[in-house]
Amino acid sequence: MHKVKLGIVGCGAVTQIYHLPASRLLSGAKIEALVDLDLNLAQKLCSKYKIPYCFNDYRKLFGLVDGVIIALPNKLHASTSIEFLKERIPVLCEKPLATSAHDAEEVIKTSEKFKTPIAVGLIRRFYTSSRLVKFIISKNILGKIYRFEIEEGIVYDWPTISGFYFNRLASGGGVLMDTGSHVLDLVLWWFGDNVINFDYKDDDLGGGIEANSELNLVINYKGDQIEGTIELSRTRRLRNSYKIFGEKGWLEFFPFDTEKVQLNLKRKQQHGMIYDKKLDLGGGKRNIIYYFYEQLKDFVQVIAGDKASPYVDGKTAYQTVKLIEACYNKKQNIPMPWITNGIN
Amino acid sequence: MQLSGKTVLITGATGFIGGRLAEHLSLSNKNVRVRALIHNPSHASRIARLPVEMVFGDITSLNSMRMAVKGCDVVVHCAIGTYEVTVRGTENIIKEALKHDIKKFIHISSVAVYGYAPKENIINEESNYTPHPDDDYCRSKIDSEKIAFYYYKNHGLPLVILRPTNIFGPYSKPWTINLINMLKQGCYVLVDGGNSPSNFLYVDNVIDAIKLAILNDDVIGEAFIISDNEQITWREVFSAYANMFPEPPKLLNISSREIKEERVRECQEIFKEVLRDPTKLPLVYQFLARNSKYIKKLLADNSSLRTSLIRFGSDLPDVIKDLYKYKINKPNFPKVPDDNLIKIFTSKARFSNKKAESRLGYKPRWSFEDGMKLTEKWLKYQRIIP
Repeated sequence: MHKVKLGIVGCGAVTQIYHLPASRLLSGAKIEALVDLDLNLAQKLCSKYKIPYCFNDYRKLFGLVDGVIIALPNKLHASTSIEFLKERIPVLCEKPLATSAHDAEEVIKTSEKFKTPIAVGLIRRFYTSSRLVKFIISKNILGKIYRFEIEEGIVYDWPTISGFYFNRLASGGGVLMDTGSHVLDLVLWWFGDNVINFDYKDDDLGGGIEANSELNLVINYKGDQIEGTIELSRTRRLRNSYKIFGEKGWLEFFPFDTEKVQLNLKRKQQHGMIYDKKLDLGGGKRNIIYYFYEQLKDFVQVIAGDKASPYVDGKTAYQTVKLIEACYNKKQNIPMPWITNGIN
Repeated sequence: MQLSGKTVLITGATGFIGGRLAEHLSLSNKNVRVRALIHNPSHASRIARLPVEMVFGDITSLNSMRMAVKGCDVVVHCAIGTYEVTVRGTENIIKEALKHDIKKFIHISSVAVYGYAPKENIINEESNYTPHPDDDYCRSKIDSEKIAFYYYKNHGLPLVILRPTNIFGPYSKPWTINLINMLKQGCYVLVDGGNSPSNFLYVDNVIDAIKLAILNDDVIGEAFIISDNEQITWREVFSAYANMFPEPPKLLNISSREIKEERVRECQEIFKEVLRDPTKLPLVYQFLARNSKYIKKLLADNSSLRTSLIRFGSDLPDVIKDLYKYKINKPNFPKVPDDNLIKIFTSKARFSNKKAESRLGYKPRWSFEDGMKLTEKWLKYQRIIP
């Protein structure tokens, strides 16, 4: 039976920690080649994972693989995806799809023109917990939703090898582009992309890589307005949960728990409303590697023709890129009075 | 020397003082180019917000330092690490600074060169070094200064050394974050009433001193103590921090006589806890390292043993972890401060600013009260206090 052959371009942290371990769970597909400018690194990984080919030029994958995973610095996502799509090689591109709405549009156009699918690595859509939230909202279990409060922040310690996250030319931005890609994607997936209004602040002071972001937005969802706040950080430990409030109760989603959602439903009483039922939904023990496997499996199914389009495709990811760009264009400074240089 | 049009290399730019200096220089004067030397890219979040050039490198590598120093006019050396990193790194950066004709080399040292409990009540720049054989921080600061002075005397390094006292403010681990955590954890924070001088200094005063050292061409080859002129006690420091909480924690006091008894009690509690829950074995290591110089040295010389003890809990099989409801334990602060902290808390020594005032033109612009107000805002933003 023909195994789908995949190539991975970029052997940095996300490939080493997630894609390669997840690929071991695949049947029906295998990693045929690795590409990295650091050929020594690619060779080491090829040896470890028994991968036949390693290169320092991604064009060597043309004609060799059936599909490619792009795990390069953000700024290279769009241009590299386009090159593979033109060769009619399906692409799974790590998030963000692109660092600008224009570039994202070019990728989508190329995908359509060459009839070659593009999937985007918005992995959190695969989580059991985020699908549970989608289900709860779509089935109106919380009633009319009126508010959400999202906080996600840890002291940044991602083992970046290239350090591209701290180079605006390579990354396209800071925590909003990075963590925000995941967060905003979930928000737009759950509530739709009809953002009526927003205001955005961050702490970028000219370096181009913000460490803290604050976004207030209003979304029109099924004719009702939902007000939401999103606070992201790379320098502070925040609550790390998403709270969604409706007239019948509220739920809490935990971005670092792929399985669990906490649901709190009100029960009407004679003298007022009280919170009564508290349910912990989910609670399995799958870790994140499993979900990277699910993502790869989805991509392989598209390549093999078993699925028409990936679970998260380019058009889906486009809205997030557009919103992030709009935020950066409208950005104001977070007040930081302890920086006493007269900039506040 | 004017700063405008110059390029300033800051080593230790992701650290407390280096980070603040990078903020100040890059934001207050658009004509100053700041180059930040970064060892670990994962720690660069704070710096990456600033209009600075980031260079990634290892201070123990001469090649790295060559790349970092090339094209710079001024070096402000803030980087510290282990003893080896601090001392070897200092020599490396100095060697490259000399090769690249740096106009000014500011070495950020510390009053730790005088020991934690100087005998004199007033310390000035003429006071002697007091090395601590068991304390790497003190030793590394002294030995780094000696290296710096050697290169000044024998190779013309355009050196100025600054010895700040106990610096507090946003991002200060030892004198802000740690003290807040001690209060939160109900540790004894006052020793003998806390009436000894704290020698606390707000970070922006240090930044002012660094700038003066860069600009002033008449102070090459000199060392300056940087302190402030207020007489703030440790009681006042902890009261200020405690009052930042919605419900101020009690300031627990211990006398010097009671310390030994309290340590014995702490030891008994730790062993009881470990018998109940073996995953807490790291607490024993921490206790022994704090209280036994022999054990501390043994563990310092055997990194694999030290790592094994610290990671003991992490390496247990899952079924054992579930049994003991294991979770990642951050090292807690001991209820009784360690010996070095007690020396600092009870020392009567104060540090004189006279030389810095007369030769550098230094005046501490930021009072303790103003510094604490800004620190409180930062602590709340960081969610370190509610």
